[in-house]
Amino acid sequence: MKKKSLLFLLLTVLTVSALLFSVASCKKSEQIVTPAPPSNEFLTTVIFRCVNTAAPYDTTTAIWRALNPSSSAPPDTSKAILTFNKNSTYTCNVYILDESKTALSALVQPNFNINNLPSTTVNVTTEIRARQNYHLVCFDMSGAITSNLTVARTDYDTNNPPLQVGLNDNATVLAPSTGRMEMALHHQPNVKNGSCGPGTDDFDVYYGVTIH
Amino acid sequence: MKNRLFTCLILIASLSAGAQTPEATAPSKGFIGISEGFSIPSGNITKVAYNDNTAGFAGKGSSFGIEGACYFSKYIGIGGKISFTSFNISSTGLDSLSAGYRNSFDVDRVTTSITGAYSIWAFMPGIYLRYPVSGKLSVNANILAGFTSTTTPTIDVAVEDGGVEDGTFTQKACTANAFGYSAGIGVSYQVLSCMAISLHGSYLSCTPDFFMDNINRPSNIGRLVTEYNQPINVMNISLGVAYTFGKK
Repeated sequence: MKKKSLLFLLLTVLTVSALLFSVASCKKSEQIVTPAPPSNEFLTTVIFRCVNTAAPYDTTTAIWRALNPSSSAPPDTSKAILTFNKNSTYTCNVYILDESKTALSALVQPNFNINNLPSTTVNVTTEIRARQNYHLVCFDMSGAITSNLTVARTDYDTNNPPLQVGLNDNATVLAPSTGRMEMALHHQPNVKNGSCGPGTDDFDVYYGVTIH
Repeated sequence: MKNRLFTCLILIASLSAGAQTPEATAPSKGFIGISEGFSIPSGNITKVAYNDNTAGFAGKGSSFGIEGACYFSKYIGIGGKISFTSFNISSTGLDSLSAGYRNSFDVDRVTTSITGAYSIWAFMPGIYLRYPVSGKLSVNANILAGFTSTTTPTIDVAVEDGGVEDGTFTQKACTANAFGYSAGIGVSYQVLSCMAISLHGSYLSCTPDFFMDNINRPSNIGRLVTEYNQPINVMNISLGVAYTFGKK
């Protein structure tokens, strides 16, 4: 009788401890924080090139450049000027380069060929295209061009439903005027919804605009 | 997997063949007991590969079971086992998963949280075999098959970039039922006339088809698993204690 009681007690203790062990292991939760590795790439140069759809020789290329983004020196905006002809439609492309390792004499000029860049220049546009599902280029006009220049994004990502990206655009130009165009690349991880609000800016640049 | 099952079957067949030799033992008519031990999953469920949607990132875990059997001869009987096996996502797997999401979203930081674990409830009847080696020691084997219910853990990933919280997306836990089978072999030792302890190894396999709900995934970025239909194989090594009854 004593043996049976002892056995019963032993079984009960084992059962309860086993159940507690199993339940505890089932409820376990873990968490890890993964920071970004040090960045090895910069967005030093942002180019907006537009070609008149009716007259391909009518091309305007604006280059905004900040070779050392971490410095407090102002960006080079001497070539950040767009010149359009009135009552025209242009097909435009955004190009993003890393020229931080490029010699000053080899920096891209307005007549550059994107397929023939110096070996030290990185075409970051291809990376942005690969990550288009969480990037969006936004345009904002100020000054007299507000009602005379409209830039519409024409390319789409592979989200479901597809959302605009903005690396390819159409510019519709109306009456002669001047002003400023702001172009920003929004980084919208897991929050891209087609609007410019969410996320952070990978770059935010300005171009002077003249419509003849 | 097939090789392991085949090996188990060979072992059981060998035991059955050996059981033709009469032994001067007095085995019990049956037992009911509990066991507890650790579990080692294998196969794709343990793969650590962010870009491979068959990867399950599972690590080692634990198991618990209640089983009983009635022997209608000295060597063979029928019985069943209810077992609970649980194993977490491994720390290596969690690292890989989190780094993968961070790279996919190209953000400053992600925080990946795992709640719960992979867990398998198995309800399996089957055939029990034993070979008494001495009056107190016997070698046991079983082949079981039946119903399994498997649950996956919940995975939450919080995305942060440029000091801005970009939301948390979740792969919710889900449960799927499937047919499963188990084969095991072990030894038991009669410590009292009505109590035995045992060391047992068993191989459990099932292939549940999970359909995962993913919440707050507006963008088509990074690893997204909506269905997981891979074999889950687990080796359980357990210690047990059993009440034996009906000594002949």
